[in-house]
Amino acid sequence: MKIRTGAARLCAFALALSLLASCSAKEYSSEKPENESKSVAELKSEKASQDNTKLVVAGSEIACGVDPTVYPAADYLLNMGAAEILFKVDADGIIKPSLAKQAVQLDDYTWKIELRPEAVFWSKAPVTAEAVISSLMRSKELDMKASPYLADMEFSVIDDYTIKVVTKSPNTDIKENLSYSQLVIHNTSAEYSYEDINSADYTGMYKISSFEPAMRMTFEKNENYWGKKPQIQTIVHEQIGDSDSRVMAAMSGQYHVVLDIDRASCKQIDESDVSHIVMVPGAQTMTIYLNTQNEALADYRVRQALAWGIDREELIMLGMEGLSEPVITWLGSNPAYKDIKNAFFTGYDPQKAEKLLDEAGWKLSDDQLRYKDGKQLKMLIRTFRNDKALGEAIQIQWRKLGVNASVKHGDYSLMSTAYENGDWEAAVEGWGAYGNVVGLLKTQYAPDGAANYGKYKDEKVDELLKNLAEAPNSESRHQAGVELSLYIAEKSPAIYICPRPQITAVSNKLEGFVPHFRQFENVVNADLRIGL
Amino acid sequence: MKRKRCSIKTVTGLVLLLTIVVLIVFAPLFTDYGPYEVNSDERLESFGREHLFGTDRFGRDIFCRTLYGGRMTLFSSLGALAMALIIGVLLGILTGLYSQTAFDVVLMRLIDVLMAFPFMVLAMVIAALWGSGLDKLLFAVVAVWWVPFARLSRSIVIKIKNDSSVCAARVLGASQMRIIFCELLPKTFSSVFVLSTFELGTLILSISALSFLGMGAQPPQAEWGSMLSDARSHFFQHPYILFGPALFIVLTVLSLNLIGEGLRDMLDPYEKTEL
Repeated sequence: MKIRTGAARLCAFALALSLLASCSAKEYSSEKPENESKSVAELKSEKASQDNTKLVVAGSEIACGVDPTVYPAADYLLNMGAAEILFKVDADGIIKPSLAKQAVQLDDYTWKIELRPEAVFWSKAPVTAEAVISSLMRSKELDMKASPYLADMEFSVIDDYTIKVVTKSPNTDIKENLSYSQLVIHNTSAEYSYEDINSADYTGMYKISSFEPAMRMTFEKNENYWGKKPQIQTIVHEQIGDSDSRVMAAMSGQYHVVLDIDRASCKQIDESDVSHIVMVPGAQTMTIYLNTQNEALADYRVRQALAWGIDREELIMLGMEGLSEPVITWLGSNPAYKDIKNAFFTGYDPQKAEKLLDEAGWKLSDDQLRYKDGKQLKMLIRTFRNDKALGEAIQIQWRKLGVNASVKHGDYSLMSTAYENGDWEAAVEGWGAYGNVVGLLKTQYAPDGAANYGKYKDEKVDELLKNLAEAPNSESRHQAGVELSLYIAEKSPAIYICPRPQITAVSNKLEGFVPHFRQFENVVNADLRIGL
Repeated sequence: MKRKRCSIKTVTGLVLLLTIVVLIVFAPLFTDYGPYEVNSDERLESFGREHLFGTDRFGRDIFCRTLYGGRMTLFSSLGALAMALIIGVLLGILTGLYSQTAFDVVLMRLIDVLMAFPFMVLAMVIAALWGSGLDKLLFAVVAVWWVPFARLSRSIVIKIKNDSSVCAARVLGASQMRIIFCELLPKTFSSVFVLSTFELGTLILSISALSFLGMGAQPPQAEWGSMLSDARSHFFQHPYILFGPALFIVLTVLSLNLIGEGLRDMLDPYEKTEL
């Protein structure tokens, strides 16, 4: 026992001695700290240049690889300034030349695209007409998402830096089509297989320097960049899947830009000293898709009733923390169609909704639910990601009408399965409303449209889509889009709520950040600078 | 013989549990609101006279939802416990009675597997196969929770199956069923009862945890775990949203543990532990 106590005392003494020694070593070190010899101004400037070396961006997802034809890669490479497209939409919704110098319409079916002779790939290979066409053809061949945007166009080389485009339909806005994010220009020479970072060749101001799948992708400044050189040396794009962790990341001061911030956390971040919230309504319309194959929903009066029974203002407050504004039409969140946001009806009229349900034969019973031929009016609302609260708010409003609404929240694979096997009545989802309007509206309303989940079929819609596709110029195309939107709002195969708010936390140190309605493609720009 | 008296622990636990049960069962008497009553003008309000525990993101009264949610949590836990108890005790008695037989060996290995298998994973597998919902959650709970009761009752039966009373019943020609229900079952009661009070506390925590993960009660049902889950996104700005359901979970589990400990001390003084 005595030996043990003695040993313990000895250990404690040794520990105390070593601690004392280490402290005194620091305190009485004769060496002068390196920083002490520099002036405050020098230190500040050194700190600024050090800070400007690395920008850290976090989001719920990063590029899945380096091949732009595999979704989602192109969006994120574009976002990080690694890849470029021929034309790019600016924050005001105006399409401007990017990698292309300009596009000139020669006649109804023919365009000429002029490229920039100074533009080069990371490998210093010139961005020629041949290289651009080859890149577009690769995207068309391998990328299902990109292919509809190129289907209408035929490309040929005029000279090294000029491309001729012939469209099948008259007056197709090729700039709009070519501004689609999946159409990033990449070098298709044999040595670039896009299997890893060493076999990728883009044109952006940053080059990929490392990639850890589902974790982070790092980019270094491209010294051969043809355009304005960025100030920041390195960009790190990190994946933080959990939304709470993203909020913590934004508040830690370690991240300069954090995308996909949860709506409920805006105030918390805004009140912090390190970051602030940048909120822009995205060109993506939050929609309640209705399964028109369902017996009750096949009746347009039921669909209309559900649409009239939605109080969008309240939905936005309850489900989206008041961070958006109502839209009645799907195109309403597209900046080019903001005139028809709420053009057709005021939107909320519960009495009218109840009357429509009565007319459709769904009568209110003593249990405050509606029945027809002994069958209860049930609606299973499916939600995913951070739309659970929105789903619950819809459920609350529909229950007021006597609809037995329930909410199932899960990941997107559950929604996809439900779409396939018909195990749904309503589903909350947002589709991008910006781009080629013909293609977009076909996706939403054509019988085989990818977003026509409810398999809505209507001859009048087909006719309107045909008119839209054949519209001779942009004005008549716009008018046809408006007409279709009016008809859809009346028939309600889907109910449109609001643009999805894009919430980004931006470090107070970061200068030059530009809010954009497609923020997920527009974080990095050459003017970004990290201040003190 | 010294008369067994209720300890202070048991009394405290009983008073606490009784208070909670009264509040839950007679919820409409204690609150002016309905559990689904939405008021978008009063969302995320703090504690106050109007709303004792504040309001949630839909402006619903949290005190009211906590009381109604308690019905869901407490009664579903009781239901699951009852099912698990019946299955577990019956299987335990049978394996105890036929110990060292193939039936016993197979069942004990099944129990080993179930004990090694994480309950949460099982609940997730069930949710993945048949979807989420309280009914599926209770199925997952019962599928696992009978195990401790089976083990306990088996060990008791092995110990007492050759007691004089059981042998006497056998000699007098009592059927196996009669021996099980009249001789063995009553002798397992006290221990199983003590275990069940502890298990009920754990069960409430587990059901709340799974509901927190979205595998239990579905909206707009009020349930303590799902209420905590809903409050999570507003926790940093409005931490009081968590208070109501969290307080009731803690108090309910505490009261059950106090009752369990008190009962154990009373029914089995040799196992009594002093902290």
